[in-house]
Amino acid sequence: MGRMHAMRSAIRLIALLAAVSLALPAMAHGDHDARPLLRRAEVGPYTVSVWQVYPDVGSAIIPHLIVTFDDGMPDEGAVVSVRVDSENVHMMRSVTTTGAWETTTGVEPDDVVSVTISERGEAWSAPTVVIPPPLTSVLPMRALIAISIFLAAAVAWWIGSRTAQAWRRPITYRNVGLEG
Amino acid sequence: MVGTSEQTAEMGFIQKLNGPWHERALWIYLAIVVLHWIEHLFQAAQIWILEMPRPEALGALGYVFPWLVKSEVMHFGYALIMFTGLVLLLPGFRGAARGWWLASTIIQGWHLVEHSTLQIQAIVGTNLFGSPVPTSFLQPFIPRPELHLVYNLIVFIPMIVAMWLHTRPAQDALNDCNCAAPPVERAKAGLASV
Repeated sequence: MGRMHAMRSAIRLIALLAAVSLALPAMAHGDHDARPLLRRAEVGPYTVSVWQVYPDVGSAIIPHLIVTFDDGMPDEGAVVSVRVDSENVHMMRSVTTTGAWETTTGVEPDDVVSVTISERGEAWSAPTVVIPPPLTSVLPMRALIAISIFLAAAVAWWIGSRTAQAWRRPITYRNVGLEG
Repeated sequence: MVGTSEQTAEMGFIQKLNGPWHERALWIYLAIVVLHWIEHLFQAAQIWILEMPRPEALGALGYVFPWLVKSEVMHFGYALIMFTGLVLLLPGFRGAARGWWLASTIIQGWHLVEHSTLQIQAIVGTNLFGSPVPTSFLQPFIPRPELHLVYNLIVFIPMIVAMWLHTRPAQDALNDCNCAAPPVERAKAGLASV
């Protein structure tokens, strides 16, 4: 009896821990896509990458830029500046990506982007980047979607008919481990 | 063979789920799968048929609750529910149907690994491939909406094949459940006047 009680308590504890561990991922905030525009470029003493990111705030959904430092962060006094078509754009430390700087406005295809890092009176520039066209599919997506819609519709119809049938049938018990 | 009430009272939850409850559980589960699948297709149609900008293609639920799509809640939760359902309902399958259901379970297992990795990245704040956002293993090669649509499709197809095989009349002799049993006449079920 005591053993059963201990086992039940253990199961309850495991269930509680599982629920807590599931709550953490639920609170985590995700994002969708980030495509690299420049990877691991040597800029002075730093190695940086430039990404085009779709941010995860509902109203500001223009793809913007993030500059990440791949091999260690710059000093506090360092400033990262970005020019788009020769005009400075506003930059800020990223609130979502550790050790990164990001623009607050989006960029368009064919915009020319240059990144400069300034520190203690010195400045280094990364190679300029031209914003490529929007992402294109690598798969035959229209055909895949057409097949999928047909399949989903057929299965939905099947579910409807079979579910009604399943609920008309009384639950009967057979075979399940009863032979012995 | 039909069991007595004493015998059935001794059955555990998993036995019941894969025996007398299997048919109803399976159809409820499939309805959940299809609803999620429709949500994915809605988003896919927004991107590739309506040609909406990707950040604005939030699916049906995303229009009402944008945070739901942008956070990992819906994706991870669904991947977990789907994998759990596949595992719990597996023992009820017999013969070739079992092989197809198992294939679906394995593929969904990998899909869950992908989503778990995304979750860990989101929690820890360090992402794969140096990306500023949580990234799937195959995302460097295929953009995320396409990748996860394909994942869902290749899970869905063997699942449907398994269910079709499992519910064929010839399968009834093998099954411990009623999934392949002949349909009940409405009159016999007492529904004639409904």
